[in-house]
Amino acid sequence: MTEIISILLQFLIFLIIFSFPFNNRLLCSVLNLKNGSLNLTDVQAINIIFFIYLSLIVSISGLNIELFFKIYLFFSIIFILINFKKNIIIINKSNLLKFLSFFLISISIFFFIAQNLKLEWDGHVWIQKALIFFNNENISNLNQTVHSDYPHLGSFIWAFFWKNSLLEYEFFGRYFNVYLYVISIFLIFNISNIKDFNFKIIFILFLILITFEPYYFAGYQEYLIFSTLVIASRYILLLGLSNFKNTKLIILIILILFLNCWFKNEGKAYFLIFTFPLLFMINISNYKKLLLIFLVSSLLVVQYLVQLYLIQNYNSTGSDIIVNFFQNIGEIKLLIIKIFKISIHIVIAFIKHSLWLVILLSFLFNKLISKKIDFYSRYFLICFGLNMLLIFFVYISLNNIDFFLKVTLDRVIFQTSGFYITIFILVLNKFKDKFYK
Amino acid sequence: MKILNKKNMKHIGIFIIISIGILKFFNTPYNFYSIINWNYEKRMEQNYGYCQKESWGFYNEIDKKFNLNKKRIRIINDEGHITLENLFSFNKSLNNNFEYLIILNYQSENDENIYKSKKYNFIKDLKLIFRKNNCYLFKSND
Repeated sequence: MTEIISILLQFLIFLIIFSFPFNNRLLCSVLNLKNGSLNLTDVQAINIIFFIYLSLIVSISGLNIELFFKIYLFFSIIFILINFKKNIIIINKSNLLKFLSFFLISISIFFFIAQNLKLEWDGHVWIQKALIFFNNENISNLNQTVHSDYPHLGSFIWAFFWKNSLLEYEFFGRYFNVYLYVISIFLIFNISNIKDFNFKIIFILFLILITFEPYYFAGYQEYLIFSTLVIASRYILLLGLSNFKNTKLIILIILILFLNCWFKNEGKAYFLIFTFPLLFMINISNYKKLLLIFLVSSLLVVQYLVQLYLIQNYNSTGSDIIVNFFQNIGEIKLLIIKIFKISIHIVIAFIKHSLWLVILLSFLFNKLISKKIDFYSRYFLICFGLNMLLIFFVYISLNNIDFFLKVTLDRVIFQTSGFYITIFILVLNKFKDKFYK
Repeated sequence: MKILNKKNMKHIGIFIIISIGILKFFNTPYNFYSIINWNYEKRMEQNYGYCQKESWGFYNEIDKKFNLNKKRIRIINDEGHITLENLFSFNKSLNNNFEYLIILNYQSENDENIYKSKKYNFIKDLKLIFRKNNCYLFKSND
């Protein structure tokens, strides 16, 4: 029973610490949005993003993670108490049922992990990094881990919630990934036009059904990238409300996408391929565009410098891939074989992660329903194209392609799928507007 | 009772059906029962095996009995499963410079004794300090 209580307590801790430091009103005012355009799920999502950034700073600074937890929890509780009256939520039927569904899904996955607590292959790589933070060791010890060039942020958060759980069991650290995942799925339905609560919940369940992969909760970082991309895409859609001119919202999107660089090495590529098309396509002045491009470049430089000087670890995987790619495209026959193999494995991965089938069908339906291609369809289609090109580029550069295609491609395909869920929701909205006015 | 009007009852009814769907999909009732019925160690053993698969149970027992924390240990899982030194704070040795040797899931041919095994002929110089089924803990004589 102690374990059940600790699991419930963990959920409560997530709920409390991710209610700080923004509330609904504050967030709307910071982002220059109309009051009421964001709801509690948005608040939790943005607070999680804030927490992840703070975790990044703490991980580099070497602050004790127990102290960090105590301070953060203390301020969160004070914040909730101060804002309790101001932000008292009108508990209506829809809100209550939505929260109960959220609770039920989160707790069910928590119990699932507590029962199936085995770490899978890569989990044993990432846990080495988590152990360094769990034992409050110096960050430079990351150099002694296998794949020392892998970013450490996901492992830091794992260690943080592991160390600060009631029973200090390892799997409590992985609950953060679950919480973030469930929040991101609930968040995406903020952009849906569907008014009927039951339909909304059924669609959320449908999305959970096709995106829930227990294997990736076994120590992998895939859900961190998946969920941050879902959150980023939600705010990309919100941009439309301000006629794509809300610079603060654009900066928020950039910052959310930048987090991917700290979860996995390929996150840097995702950051670039999802950010640059947005910057080139949005309707802002060239001066602002230049400033934002400068921001993106600066963030990458900062990451490089932090990895090189503070963590003392930087692997030039990116340049190796480019060199290998140009070496490997020389032989046409080999290149064709590689392209064929990659294509076959992409199709297999699309079938394995059926969200992709929904996304591809959504692209198709979108084309059929709409007479002209709107901003979002064009943007997500460009991102999708770049995403696929990136996959071909990376895998062509690999020598042991058969092995890597078998063990990594499905995960690579899965982690970016979250970004395109919005296309599915957009098609649902268009479909509803067209046929159920 | 306004809350229990016809429309609300319909919503609550649908919500209950959806909830049952959620519980069934994640196998929640069984997971709940399992967490209550078996403690963390037992569940780890169920997942990783005692002296099979990754053999978490064997690691746990020898760690408790011999306090192997931070000791230089060479670990061989003869079935090829991943080794679990990270879950026990063992200092895994990749060469022959070790204080302890753990051999898990030893695969014998024709019921061959591990001491007669050609694969592990180096264990003749080691002292067997614990064995359960096909899992062995040896101590270096140095």
